[in-house]
Amino acid sequence: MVDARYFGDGLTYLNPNDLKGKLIAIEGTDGVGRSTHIEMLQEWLEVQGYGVLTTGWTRSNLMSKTIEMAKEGNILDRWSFSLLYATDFADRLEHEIIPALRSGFIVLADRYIYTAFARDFVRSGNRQWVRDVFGFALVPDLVCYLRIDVETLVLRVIETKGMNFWESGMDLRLGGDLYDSFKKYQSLLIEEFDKMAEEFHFEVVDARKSPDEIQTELRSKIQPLLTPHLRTPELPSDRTIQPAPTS
Amino acid sequence: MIVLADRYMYTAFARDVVRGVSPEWIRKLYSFAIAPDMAFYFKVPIEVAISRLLGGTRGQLKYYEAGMDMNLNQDMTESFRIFQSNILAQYEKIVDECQLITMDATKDIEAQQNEMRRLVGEALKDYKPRRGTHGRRTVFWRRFDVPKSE
Repeated sequence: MVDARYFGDGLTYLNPNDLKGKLIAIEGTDGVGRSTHIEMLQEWLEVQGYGVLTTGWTRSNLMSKTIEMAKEGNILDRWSFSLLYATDFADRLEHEIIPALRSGFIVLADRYIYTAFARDFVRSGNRQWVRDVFGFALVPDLVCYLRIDVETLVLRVIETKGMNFWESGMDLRLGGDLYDSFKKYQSLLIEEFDKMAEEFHFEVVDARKSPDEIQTELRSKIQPLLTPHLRTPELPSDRTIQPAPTS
Repeated sequence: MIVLADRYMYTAFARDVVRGVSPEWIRKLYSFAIAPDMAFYFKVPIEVAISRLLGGTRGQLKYYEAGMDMNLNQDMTESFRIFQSNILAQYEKIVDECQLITMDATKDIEAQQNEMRRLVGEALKDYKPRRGTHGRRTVFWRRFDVPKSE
């Protein structure tokens, strides 16, 4: 990572300039197709010879089960909510993201700290604390934001997996039922993502387009980051192994 | 009600900084914590701590309290000595910064307890005790179970 840096107060024992890989975050609210596109990007990159690691929100070994359990209880308050996710992120940063970047991998992050920023802000009205907490995060080389409007998002979610308690922000009591609450909660998140898109210079991709168009657009944003030294080294032809001489 | 907390954010200020976390970061992280009305720091020299843990009912040191994750020394007692000495040094800073009341924890329990009761009694001079249940204890707050980490 060229001019790699931490978002705020970093890890005192690690100099981010030692990291050779590239960190690409894909952000966007629920139901915009992040995981589908990340899967396609991974294949596209691997076929070209790049090492790729995909890492996803809440998927750390340490925290995934605990987060599931906490969500089932439906009584997460602001601090425990944000700190559970921060712990999950810290575990993945130290055990997945940093080792992969150090070995020159391209890391595709399905959601990144901006998700935590948006969710915490919607719950607290305060931007500073959660940004301080995630100070140890690495600033990505590229953030692609899959943007959708809430009307399209509602249709898409109803047609596919339906709405759930947390995606609807039911803990916030924003509306009388799941549908109302989902719309209000997701609108607030989109509004905050839009603000961050300017502040942190996200590459905004219109998620209402067809999957093919979105994928092409994502690839064109990623292309400039790809340098030859990231690829698996190939042995020059004069160095290929010769058969052992027979005596 | 009166809340008695066995360890508070100061533990993290000391331990996590010794483990390489930024002192500024850890304070910002815990900025949501309520500052206690009183905070006591029970201070003992490192050798006393070691002899109590090794000689007491426990008879051994725990992996993390000895800082064994930090590769300070292969010998657990030596690792404990290095790690906990660093923690004691952090506490010295925290005592000033956060106005902790330092207790001489080398004294016997009764002497320490009397001193604490005197200090707490003074602090509670104008406190009006309140009870909701006339002495019957009930579960105040039941949360989901989380597997114990230690």
